[in-house]
Amino acid sequence: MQEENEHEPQLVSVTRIKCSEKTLRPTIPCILHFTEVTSVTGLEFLSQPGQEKTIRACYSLAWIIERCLPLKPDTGMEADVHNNSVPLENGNLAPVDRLRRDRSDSPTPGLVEGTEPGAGQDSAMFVHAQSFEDLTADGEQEQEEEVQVPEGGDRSERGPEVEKPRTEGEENEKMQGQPGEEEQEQEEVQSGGGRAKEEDVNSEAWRRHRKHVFVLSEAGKPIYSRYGTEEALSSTMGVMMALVSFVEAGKNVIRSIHAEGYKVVFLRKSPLVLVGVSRTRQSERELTRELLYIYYQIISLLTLTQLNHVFQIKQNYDLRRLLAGSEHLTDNLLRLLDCDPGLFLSAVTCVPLPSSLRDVVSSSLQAAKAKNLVFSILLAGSRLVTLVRKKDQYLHHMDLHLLYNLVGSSSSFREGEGWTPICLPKFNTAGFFHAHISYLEPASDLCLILISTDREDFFTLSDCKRRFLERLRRRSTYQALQEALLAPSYPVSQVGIPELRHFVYKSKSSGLYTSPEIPIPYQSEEEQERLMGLYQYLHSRMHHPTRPLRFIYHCAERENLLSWVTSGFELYLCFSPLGTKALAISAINKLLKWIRKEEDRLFILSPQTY
Amino acid sequence: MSTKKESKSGKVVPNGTSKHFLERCASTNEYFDIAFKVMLLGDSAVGKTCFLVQFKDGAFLAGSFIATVGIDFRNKVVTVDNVKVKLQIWDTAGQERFRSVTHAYYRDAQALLLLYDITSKSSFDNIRAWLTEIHEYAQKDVVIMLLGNKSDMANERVIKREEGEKLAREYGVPFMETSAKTGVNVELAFLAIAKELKHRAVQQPNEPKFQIHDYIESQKEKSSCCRYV
Amino acid sequence: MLMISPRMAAGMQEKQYTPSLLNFFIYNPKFGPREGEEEKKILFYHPSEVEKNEKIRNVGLCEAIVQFTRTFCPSKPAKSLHTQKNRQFFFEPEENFWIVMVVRNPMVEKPNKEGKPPTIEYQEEEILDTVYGAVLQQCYSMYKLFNGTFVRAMEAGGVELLTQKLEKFFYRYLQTLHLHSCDLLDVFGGISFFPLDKMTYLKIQSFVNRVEESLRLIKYTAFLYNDQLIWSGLEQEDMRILYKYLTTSLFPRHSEPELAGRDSPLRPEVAGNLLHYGRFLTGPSNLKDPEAKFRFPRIFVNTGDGYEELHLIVYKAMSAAVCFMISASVELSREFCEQLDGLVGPQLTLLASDICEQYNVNRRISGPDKEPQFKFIYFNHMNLAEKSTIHMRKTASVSLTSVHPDLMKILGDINCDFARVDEDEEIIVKAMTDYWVVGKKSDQRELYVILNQKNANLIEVNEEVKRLCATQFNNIFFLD
Repeated sequence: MQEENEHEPQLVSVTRIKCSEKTLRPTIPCILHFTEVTSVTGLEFLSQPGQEKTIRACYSLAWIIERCLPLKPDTGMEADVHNNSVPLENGNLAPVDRLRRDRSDSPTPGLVEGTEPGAGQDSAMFVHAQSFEDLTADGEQEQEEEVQVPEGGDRSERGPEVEKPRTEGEENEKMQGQPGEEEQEQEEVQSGGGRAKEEDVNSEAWRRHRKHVFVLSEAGKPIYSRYGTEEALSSTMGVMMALVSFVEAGKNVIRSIHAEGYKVVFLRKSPLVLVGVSRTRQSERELTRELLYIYYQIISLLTLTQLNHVFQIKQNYDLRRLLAGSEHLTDNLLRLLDCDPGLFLSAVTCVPLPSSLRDVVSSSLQAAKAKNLVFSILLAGSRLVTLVRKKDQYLHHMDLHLLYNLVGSSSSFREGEGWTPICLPKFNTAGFFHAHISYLEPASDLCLILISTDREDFFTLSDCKRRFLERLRRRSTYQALQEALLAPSYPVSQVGIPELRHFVYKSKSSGLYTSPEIPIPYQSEEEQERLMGLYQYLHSRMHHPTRPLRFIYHCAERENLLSWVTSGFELYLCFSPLGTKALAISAINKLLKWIRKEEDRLFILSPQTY
Repeated sequence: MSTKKESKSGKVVPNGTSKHFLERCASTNEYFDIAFKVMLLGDSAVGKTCFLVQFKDGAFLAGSFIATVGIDFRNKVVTVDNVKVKLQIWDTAGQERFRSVTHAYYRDAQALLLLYDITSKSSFDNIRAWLTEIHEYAQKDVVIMLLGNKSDMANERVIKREEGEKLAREYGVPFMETSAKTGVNVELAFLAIAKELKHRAVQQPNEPKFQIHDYIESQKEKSSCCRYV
Repeated sequence: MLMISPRMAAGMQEKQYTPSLLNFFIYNPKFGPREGEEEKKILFYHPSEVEKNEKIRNVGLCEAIVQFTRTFCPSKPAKSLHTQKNRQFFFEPEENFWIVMVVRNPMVEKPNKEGKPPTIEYQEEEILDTVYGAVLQQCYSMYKLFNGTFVRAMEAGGVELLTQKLEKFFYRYLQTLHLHSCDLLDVFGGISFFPLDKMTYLKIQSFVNRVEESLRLIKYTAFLYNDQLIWSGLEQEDMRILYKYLTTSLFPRHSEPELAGRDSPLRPEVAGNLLHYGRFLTGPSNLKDPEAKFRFPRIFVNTGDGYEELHLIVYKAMSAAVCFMISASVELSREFCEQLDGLVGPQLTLLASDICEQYNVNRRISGPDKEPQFKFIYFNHMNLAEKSTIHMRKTASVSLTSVHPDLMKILGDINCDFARVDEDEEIIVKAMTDYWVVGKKSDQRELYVILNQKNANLIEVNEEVKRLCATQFNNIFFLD
């Protein structure tokens, strides 16, 4: 194997091409991208643009993987190879596509063969009387059964089936009015970076990251990688797509791979594929939910309609062009997922405020309405001050988190007034809203988001903001609000329960949660993530899809945890390890009383509509 | 108040004929006589936001790359010939996905600052495409200025000043090289725009026509010593 | 009046399918490295009727998954793959030899309106990786017990011999896998010990010593009563798999003659002047027939450092069973069997009735059995001791449990939670059915209790478990 490598060209990446049932046997048809090939046994060359050779062939998945992945850390061949790769970009193979198979069209998959109900079990009842230990002892000489050669050998003689390439002139579909098409693609995309992610993807440090996230297109083309450049990871992502396609070819769906210490989770959201590799203890479901957030993050920038459209026009479109500059949004969202309980609780939290004060803010916001205004949201950091909505229109917490993330990841709203299209995917994946985003003052934490359906509404909304501010000032609420924000949260000691370190309480009906400041033992980033991990663990056990629980008490060396879910609320408590069960039980009652007493301040009890 | 009126004037005007009003307006915090809308255009990462921040606050945003989302609106009042001119500057995101938003605001803009990055060939090559777009969406008499930004990065330069000048001549637009980092020609670019717009708006019958090209040429001698000297 | 609503009728037609074995294969990626030679990699494939190319494809996917995960951790590749329809478990027991077990997810078939094929819903959350991963490892251990390692077969007769052995063993073994009834006990793979007073224990020990002294050929002995272990001279790991074999395969196969024997007039053997009930479970089934051929199964033990190939003699009298292991190099004659029968038969018969008597005395002392409010599973990682009141009886085909499968899965979940951190923990949960489930992990021991006290609160549950620990386990769990 080692020797062969010297003569063998280095495979750079693989893209699966359309295949019929027939060609799937026994291998998968794909396009292989090599560097500097002179000849490869058994492969047929179809085109040779530049230095690179593109070969279309039917090859076994294992063969591809073996050549595609930089597995042996000592061979040192990897890095260079990947840098050379300009995968799929040049060459006339652009419309290799036709890959859009009608997956959803396939009728309900039939029963897997040999699983006729009852059959297996009935026979099993009898076989168990057989023994499997070797009683003949000399079986090595005796040949009871010939090794059966399965039928159908004739079929394989035909060898790998090669599909003819399609080269209809689809590739030059231009999108309207966009300066800098094709040729600039590479550069433009790369200039979007500035993130320190030029990390060696074969290094131990890269492998050790707690959570990797990859986004790729159905053509196996990289769209996003949390660590390491997409270029360096193009072959890894090609393999991911190969795995996804391979399993789909068997009318099945790949979900996850589990290994000791880490998991790989796949989320298929046509036309995208999202893959997470996590060393955390999160369950497969939790990781899938996080990938779903990333997917919605991308939808919020483009709409699903546009996303589908670009890939319909050009199957191997480099989506990074359209997403340029948004990497930090995704980076930031991934950080948010690690530290904000709202994202797994499906809830948001608000700034504790006297209800009288909040009501004035809400009514001022309510008064500053406009025809096309749908939502007015006032945030302080990542906490809600108030939200006013059009009657009958509801904002999904996921969409709200995406808005938080947008505001939180960009400093450019501080100074001026931002105006941007945004799709709220839980509301509608097809269209854009238009958001007016501005801080009430550059130095303030208060950020106002006004969401309209009209893209010409900037000045209208700018005026709404002005009216809102005037009203606040007139009623001298602004000052009071600023002062209240000096203490945007509360310490757990306010509740007065000994050994209680932290808690999260979610009111199911309002979709709001409340939680005290992160206490001292969990203030480091690492410990905070660990605490969130514990809550996530409780949450995921409580909400197991087939065996949910009512109550958990978890006692360990570093802390004791308790969670309780009723039809009205969800409660998660973290006690010091000194806390006893008796104390925990009394703590629940005390805490619920306290929350009841403080609910005016902790929640938005009277939401407003225009 | 002023903002509101402006917005109305912006909306009422049906087809891009510019209407200017000379009246002393009082905003909540700044007085001005006249207001104009200026738009910053160009590929992503050519330094539009830095360029604006240098002008507005005299500071350079060093460090990490923060992409503008959609359009960012900021105001700055400058004094031109004793007239207070409020520039409402629209900083746009260069990314392709925001093109449709920016198009919607082209026709309201009275001046366009079109930037490229002298260290990026693609950003320069795209200027023609930008100009095509401008001609399609903007008002006929919009003031356009071409700027080659990042002139401080001499070592990484790939676009010669002459190339910029040649392109500008071809399209008949004023040109200069600027540096958002050192501030070279940043203020000049805005001032020249402000002067031109102010002259157009309140031209006295006997006053000679303001020549933006000449003004720039005369002014930029002083400061554009960055490269050859 | 009886009325069946259409919905009920439809519901009645719903079919539930339990998890089942789809594929089981063994391959070595080094055996067919070239394109076109993939088939050579496959050493065993079940079901064998599967078309060749499909076999190659399925093996290819496993190889791909394993290689792919090495990108993220070169030393710890994939152990399982979850898909909508099935789960695949990967196990590399020997370098480059991979065993893969593909288990179909349980599913519900819902009939549709006429003409339309039924809708199938796969229940993807029902299979616990830990359980089936353990089942897969057990498959290999069992193969190794009777055949030695894969490498050994390779050395003795190349790929050809290995594939023969695999075919022969797994063809039968796989039919004894009952994937729908696997649970936490499979994860532990523990040994149930027979509780005994000191005196009786010493009697058994001296019996073993006497026999080993008289029959010098015997290398190891193991003593069981009522399918529970009392004494073993084997290494723990070897005993674990041998115990599994005895209790789930060998003993159940011979339970019927035993039952018959009890009811019918005694058919004792005569040896000397003593009547006894001893008989061989392996080897000669009838010592009286001099023509009957017999052979003892061979097993491989002490696999930690090299091999020991042994004859396995299992001899039983009433509820007591003894395993004698003798080096395979020795030819075991009929005379030897008769000698052993004469020596062991009478003593074992006496011993068995002694134990039985003692056991009944102890039970009388501890009072009559009343249905307890709880059921529990206990496992000790140090001595592999397991104890379950959840499993009513364990036969080869099914382990009958008295609790709802969902509760069993919750036990499995708690067990997974314990594996997350290596520290003492306690987890108490209340299921939607209001059953309480308690898991305790302390110093290598794990205890799982299911309480059917729906109205109890956390404190009462805690008290109940404390009482259980005090009576059953001498307070070995210290956590509050």
